[in-house]
Amino acid sequence: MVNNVSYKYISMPIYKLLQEFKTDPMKVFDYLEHVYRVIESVETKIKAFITLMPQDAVFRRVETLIKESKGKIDSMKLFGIPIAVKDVISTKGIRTTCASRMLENYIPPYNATVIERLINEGSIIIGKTNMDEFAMGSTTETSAFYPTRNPWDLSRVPGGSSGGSAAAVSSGEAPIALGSDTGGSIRNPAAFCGIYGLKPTYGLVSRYGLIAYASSMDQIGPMARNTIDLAILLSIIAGHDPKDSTSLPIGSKNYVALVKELVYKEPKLRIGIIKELFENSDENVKVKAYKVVDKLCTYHECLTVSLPYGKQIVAAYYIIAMAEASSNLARFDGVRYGLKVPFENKSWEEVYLEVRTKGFGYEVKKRVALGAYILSVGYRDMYYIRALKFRRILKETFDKIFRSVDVVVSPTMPILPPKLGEFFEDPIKIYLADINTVIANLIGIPAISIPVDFYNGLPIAIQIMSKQLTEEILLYLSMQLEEKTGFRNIIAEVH
Amino acid sequence: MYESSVIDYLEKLALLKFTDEEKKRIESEIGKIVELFSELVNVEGLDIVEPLYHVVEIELPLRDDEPLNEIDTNHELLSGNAVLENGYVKAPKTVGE
Amino acid sequence: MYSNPKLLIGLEVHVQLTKLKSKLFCPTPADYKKSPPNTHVCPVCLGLPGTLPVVNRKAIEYAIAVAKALNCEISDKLIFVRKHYFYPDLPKNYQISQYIGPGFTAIAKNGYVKIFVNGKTKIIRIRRINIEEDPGRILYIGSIEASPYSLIDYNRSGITLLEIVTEPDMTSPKEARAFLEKLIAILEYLEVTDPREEGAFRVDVNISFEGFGRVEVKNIGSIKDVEKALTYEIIRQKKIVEQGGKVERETRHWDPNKGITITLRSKEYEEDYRYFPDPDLPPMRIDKNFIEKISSTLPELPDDRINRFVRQYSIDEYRATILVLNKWLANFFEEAAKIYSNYKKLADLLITDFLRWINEYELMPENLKVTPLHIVKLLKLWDEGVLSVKMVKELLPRVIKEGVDIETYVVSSGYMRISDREYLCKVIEEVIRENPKAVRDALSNPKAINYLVGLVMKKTESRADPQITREIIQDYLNRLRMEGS
Ligand SMILES: [Zn+2]
Repeated sequence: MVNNVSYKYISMPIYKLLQEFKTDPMKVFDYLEHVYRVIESVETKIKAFITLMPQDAVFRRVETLIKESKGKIDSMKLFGIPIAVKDVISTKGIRTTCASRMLENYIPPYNATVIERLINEGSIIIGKTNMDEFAMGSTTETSAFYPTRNPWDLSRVPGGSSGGSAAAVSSGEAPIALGSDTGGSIRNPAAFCGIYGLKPTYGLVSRYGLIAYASSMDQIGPMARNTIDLAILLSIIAGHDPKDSTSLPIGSKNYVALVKELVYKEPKLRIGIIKELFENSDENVKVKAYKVVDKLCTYHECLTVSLPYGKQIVAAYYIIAMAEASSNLARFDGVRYGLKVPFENKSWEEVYLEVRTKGFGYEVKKRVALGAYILSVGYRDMYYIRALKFRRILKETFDKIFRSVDVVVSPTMPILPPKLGEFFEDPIKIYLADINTVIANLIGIPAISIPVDFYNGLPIAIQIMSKQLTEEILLYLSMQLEEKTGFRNIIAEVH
Repeated sequence: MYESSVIDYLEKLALLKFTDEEKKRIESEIGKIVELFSELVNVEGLDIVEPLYHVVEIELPLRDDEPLNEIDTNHELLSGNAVLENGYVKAPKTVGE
Repeated sequence: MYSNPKLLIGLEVHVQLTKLKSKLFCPTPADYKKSPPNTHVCPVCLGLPGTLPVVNRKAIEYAIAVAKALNCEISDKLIFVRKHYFYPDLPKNYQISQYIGPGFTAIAKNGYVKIFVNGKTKIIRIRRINIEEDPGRILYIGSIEASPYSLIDYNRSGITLLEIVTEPDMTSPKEARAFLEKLIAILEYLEVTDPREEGAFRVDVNISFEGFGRVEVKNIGSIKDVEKALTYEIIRQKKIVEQGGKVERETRHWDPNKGITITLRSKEYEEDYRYFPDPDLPPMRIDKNFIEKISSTLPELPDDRINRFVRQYSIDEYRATILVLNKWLANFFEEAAKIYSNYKKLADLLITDFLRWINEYELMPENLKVTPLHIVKLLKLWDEGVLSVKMVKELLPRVIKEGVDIETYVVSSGYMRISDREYLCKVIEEVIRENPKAVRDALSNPKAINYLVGLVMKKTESRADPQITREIIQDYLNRLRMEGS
């Protein structure tokens, strides 16, 4: 425990903090003071941030905010609430690196739509969090700068790719965070760090300003230490954005009100237990996860559903992700932004090659190169088109499943957080660990990771998925479980 | 081990190079990855379905032809990250192709 | 054997839709041509990480109008693909474009354009039309070769382009020219582009002799240069063929200054652009109503207007075509035709001397001083015999350049045919007094009268009406004969 820190204060949910801040805006400083004490104490061990805003700069920002918000404070949904933002989301004037040498010095001249919304609601960005380079990874080890450590066990990874955001929230460095999720990048680290994380329906949250990895699967989503905070953050970032042509033409919902209403009405749901995803999990995970499911089943109607696909899901996911990544990452050539090398009297091809060779790490190079290969004539049909066809089959499979159940449940991750470097020798093993999470991205449905228990001091989480645009159902079940498990506002003790 | 000519081809496609160390790594991994990808070959009914490109059913929204009022007179968008010369972005030469 | 192999020419025309106010995928103002570099840019058209495209509706409407005008089948789906290639003018290192392939298609295909060459109508088939974004522009310091680096202006990046691809249906540079003139006229009538704007249209030509390698010449900036580049290539390839050589399949570059084409790269294999549907842009159904709405507002197009001119003004297709392909000239003609009914004479003047002077003076149709009324007045004075053909041709440049009112001018400057008998008698008396020998000759030889007429013309600076002059002199000679007998 860090000295001079009120953990009662640090662990306070943001809906309570908001009440305090609105009664007395000066309390924002007070809270931030505590937050920075935590950061000062744990950050050197965890390394959750790539860019941390200096405390005095944040204080000045709060002063301005208070001045500018006179009379409007009551209507601001995140007044004075600090937030950690994954370093894949563009922040005007704040370095945005994607944890890559390529963008080490890149300062976006514009804000992502979600950032605009956060700022309008009075939220304070305290830093940009570490991640796998260009979000390609599930451990935050592919960051070009340094790996982030799991606050529950510093020898273990925090998960990824939004590992920095998850570690920051679970260690008390920030009450809430934004992550991005292409194949589990929010849910995986949320599970490993013992916090709540939600990947919204594809198209619910604007991708404008999110540096693309795989455009057809990327979504920004909220990460928090309790369900209501998650719902608050989702309500702010969700909703149509004319700058994103894949943004669904619907407004945001008040998820907090919806959750509260559902909790009050307590409808009985049909819950599908995806047998294979439990059976394929590590024993310890499986046992704990089944226990939690039992808690759900005491009230809801549970039935077993079968998923006849395994490795194929992971194959399809990686094919599509790599193909799109090869295209999305083509733009990094060092001309308009990004890594610079001396280029006078060299041909552009030489220079581009040098920039991309020096700027990208191994995992990124591998996925970009394989992606280009997958899209090239002669291989496109064999890999890319097949993956897309499988994607339709998978979608139809789940359409069918969702005709008999309202939601499906599985462990979020089939394994406990691995040790750093554990998977270095076998990338396929770590790819296969994504099987539970990539489904939601492949077919665009929402999915939540709910922390439920510990095994040997390591968090265990379950994932619930539902039909497109039924986030409130996921939040309702999350809330119910939160009540039952008492897993809320828990901060990891960093040793 | 995978043939190094394949790696050369990948490098050419993606316009990047693997370091010697990275080359060793990818040579040992690529076979396993391709093997994983080949899992899709035996999926039943794959041939009779259409590829799914977009997961949510949404019609492409169109924007009215209304230009912004302002232009970037002071190069605020580029000056922080590009090398400018008289307002132009400096780039490597493109001659000799 | 190979002395007369068939020549095949196909064109790929890139046209900027210059009448759009904003770019294709972002709201950046599209009127960049007179602006300093890199000012008409935004995060989207600079390809900054995280940015996304949003399609300009008007661009789609224009593309459909063009597709209709080129008699194309319009796709029922609008799909954009990414076309990948690395190049410093391309901000994302892929171009958002269209293509026909698995899971995607062009906005339109299978159309045709009628051209009129050597008195005959010919059909040139259109293979497809794509909507795509223009890349930025690369500049060099000093000469291209010596330049140690390049400079990029992204103002053009994201401007809407239509790529119009023909089948290889043209068999001569002249036909290629006729096609381009017709195409540009169609686009001008549709008011989707101003083809005279710098860089508004660029052409890639494919040229081959049947059975030989196909050569592509890229990025030609004007119709004149297309004709020249084709002519150059025909001679170059013919020479190779005649010497028993092989024309290599390659891409060449047209150097307009030197008037030659040079090798850019050989095409041993097809470039792999790794097309796939852009995941940032879901498809759009193009329903019949949408197309119908656009079709119903199409203006009269060149083919219809040519037909109408032939019917309404009884001029031939040749004249009608020349007039109509110059939209403003055709408008000028129709204005004039309201107040002047010798349409053929009007058309002839307009498509010959009139057009020549307009080009000579490099006048812009939109700020001409000469009006249809000016030309009609000139024609009427000509019809009435007030002006001679010679005078008309002499006066025309001034009418065109300065827009002088010919009636006023003719009166005030005295520049008209002198038919006043009293005045002419005075001049003739002088001539007769000064040339007694010529008079004697004329009395004995009737043909010698011409010499006297010529002297009168000389004295009046050609303004004397030759008919009247001759009459008066004849009368005088007759009187002398009677007196002498
Ligand atoms: Zn723009």
